[in-house]
Amino acid sequence: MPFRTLQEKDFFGRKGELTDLYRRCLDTEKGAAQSIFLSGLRGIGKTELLKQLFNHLFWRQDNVVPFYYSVNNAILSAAEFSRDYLTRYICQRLAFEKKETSFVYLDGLSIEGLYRVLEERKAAWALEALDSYSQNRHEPADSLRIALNLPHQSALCTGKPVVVMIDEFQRLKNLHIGGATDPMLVCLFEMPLSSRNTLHLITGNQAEIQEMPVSANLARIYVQPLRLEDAALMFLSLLDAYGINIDAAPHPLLDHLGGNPFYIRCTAGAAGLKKEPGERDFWTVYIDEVMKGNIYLYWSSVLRDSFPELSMREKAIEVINTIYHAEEPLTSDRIQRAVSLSREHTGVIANVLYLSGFVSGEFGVLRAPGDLVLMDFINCLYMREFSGKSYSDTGAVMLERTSGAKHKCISFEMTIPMIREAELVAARCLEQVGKNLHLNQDVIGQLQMAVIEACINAMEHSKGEDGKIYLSVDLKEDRLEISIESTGREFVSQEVGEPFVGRGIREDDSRGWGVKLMKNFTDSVRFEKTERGTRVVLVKKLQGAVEADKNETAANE
Amino acid sequence: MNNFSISLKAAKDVVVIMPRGYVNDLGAERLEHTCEQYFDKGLKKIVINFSDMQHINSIGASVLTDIVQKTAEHRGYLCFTNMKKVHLDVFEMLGITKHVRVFKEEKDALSFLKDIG
Repeated sequence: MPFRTLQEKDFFGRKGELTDLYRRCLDTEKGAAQSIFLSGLRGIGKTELLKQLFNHLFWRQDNVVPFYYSVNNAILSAAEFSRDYLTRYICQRLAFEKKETSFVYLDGLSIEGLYRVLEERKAAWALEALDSYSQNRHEPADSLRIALNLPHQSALCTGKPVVVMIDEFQRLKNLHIGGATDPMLVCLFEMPLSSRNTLHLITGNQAEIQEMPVSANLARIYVQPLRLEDAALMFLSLLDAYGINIDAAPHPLLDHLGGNPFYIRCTAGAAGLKKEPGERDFWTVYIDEVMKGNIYLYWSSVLRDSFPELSMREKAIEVINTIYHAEEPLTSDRIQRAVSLSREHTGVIANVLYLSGFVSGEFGVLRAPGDLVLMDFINCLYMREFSGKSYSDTGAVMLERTSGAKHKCISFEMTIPMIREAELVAARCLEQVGKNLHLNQDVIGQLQMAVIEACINAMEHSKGEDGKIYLSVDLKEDRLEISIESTGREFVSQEVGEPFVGRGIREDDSRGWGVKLMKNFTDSVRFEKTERGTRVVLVKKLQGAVEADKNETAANE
Repeated sequence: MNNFSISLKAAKDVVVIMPRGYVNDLGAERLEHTCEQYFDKGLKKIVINFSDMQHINSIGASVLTDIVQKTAEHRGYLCFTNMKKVHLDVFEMLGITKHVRVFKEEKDALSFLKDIG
């Protein structure tokens, strides 16, 4: 139900995104709607964002009509879906007119009942639509077309543009007529999605939606993880609801949760049941969550849904574990060799794992997603089910790995604008980071050179959607990892994750040298497609670099 | 943001060019233009002292290959001096160091050029 939302005070860190979406929705009045695919990791808060947007549009203005629809797996026959979509749209449209929320809850209203309501309200446009639907209700494809076009039709008739919000959009690939699933039925959305007076905002499982035929022409907005400050506020607020007040949020743990509101809610909820929890207790609670709590239930249900057959599920866990522990992205061939599966089975499992979000790599080169919690879930599962470790041993190992690792990692992050010579800011920042880490000057110079090239590449290949470069520098025990991420996509070759050279940029070879320089001055360079666009990860081993500096210091002393 | 500049020291038949700051495409093109001006005046001995060059990018470095080429066209002499190791590595990668004389200090380059007729 669209009105079932968090209170505004509990909706953390999304003000910017909400305001931006709200403005885009209001701009629909100008007749230049551009439909949007709201993407983001599982649990990141896409549904809540849609519901908050619906509430804003419903209560705070009268010009743009909001319609919220969550696709239900039980209503996927074209005939039932059409009726449900149509009646819900009409009810929400009537509710919006006089701000009568009771109309939104008119579930199960029959077509005859709806006729009576519309006659009472003298809603001519809706009566006309209902007539057209009733005449075609025995033709599922026609009735589906009529239902999907209804928001656009109502906008034409009433002059009020519509914002259609559809959650769990990927389920529509299972639309069927008479039990025969037809993934192409969703193509009937093409026309409504391109309407200029009806903005569609769709969300759901991003990997599956990306594979659907209608997603290509949508603007894409990526729902970012919460920033650490917002994650901390959310965590403290949730604990407060349990009557627990702590001086400071456990930042290393929250960093590990990756700004995912679902993980934060689960962990805080479990911690709330403890008396006076301390930092170590929070980690223990988290490990319990991953091993048997709500996080465990969530991911194991995704695993079960993705692989209903037990033997396939077992193989899938092996495949995921192999991918998570590989040092580089793996092709299907390498996975096949590692887990002794047939090519066909490997392909099927890899595809399902990608679609369900367990691994990244939409072009068949698979890697672990940037979700440490999911990786912990798989690690626990593997230790218990495959290595035969006891529950307590698994918990102890995980506690050591997760809470211990956080203390050894130092991380710097910065965002720089895509303006000329902004790469110098990154280079200078890196110089200071290098000095703090006691790296010798040659190594700092090499890293600066590589970062300058990576930033220039990011600027040249970015579509300029947000005009920013996201830089992070992570010290991980024996190596430094520098990640340069931007919205550019074409930079990375679809097949092998290597960059294209000389496409859409200068036609000379000078930019080809940029990649060669990056590779020459680091120990490895990875090119990754990310939710945001493209990430270049420069890895430099530090052993020699730091020792040399210590020697210099000793000599100077 | 960039504080790129060029300073010059001309003596008899040699000019010493000192780029300062970030040598990107624009900086390198200014450097190239400066060299061309001296070649046009008939001067054939150029020293580029890199002691104040903070950073260079691949586009800037590739423009330097044009300077090398133009030096050869004018039958001139080009010397690089006071280079940081990382920048020397870049020039080696691009093959520039095969065509220029590299000296640790500016005075070494001047001494070398003095002995050439």
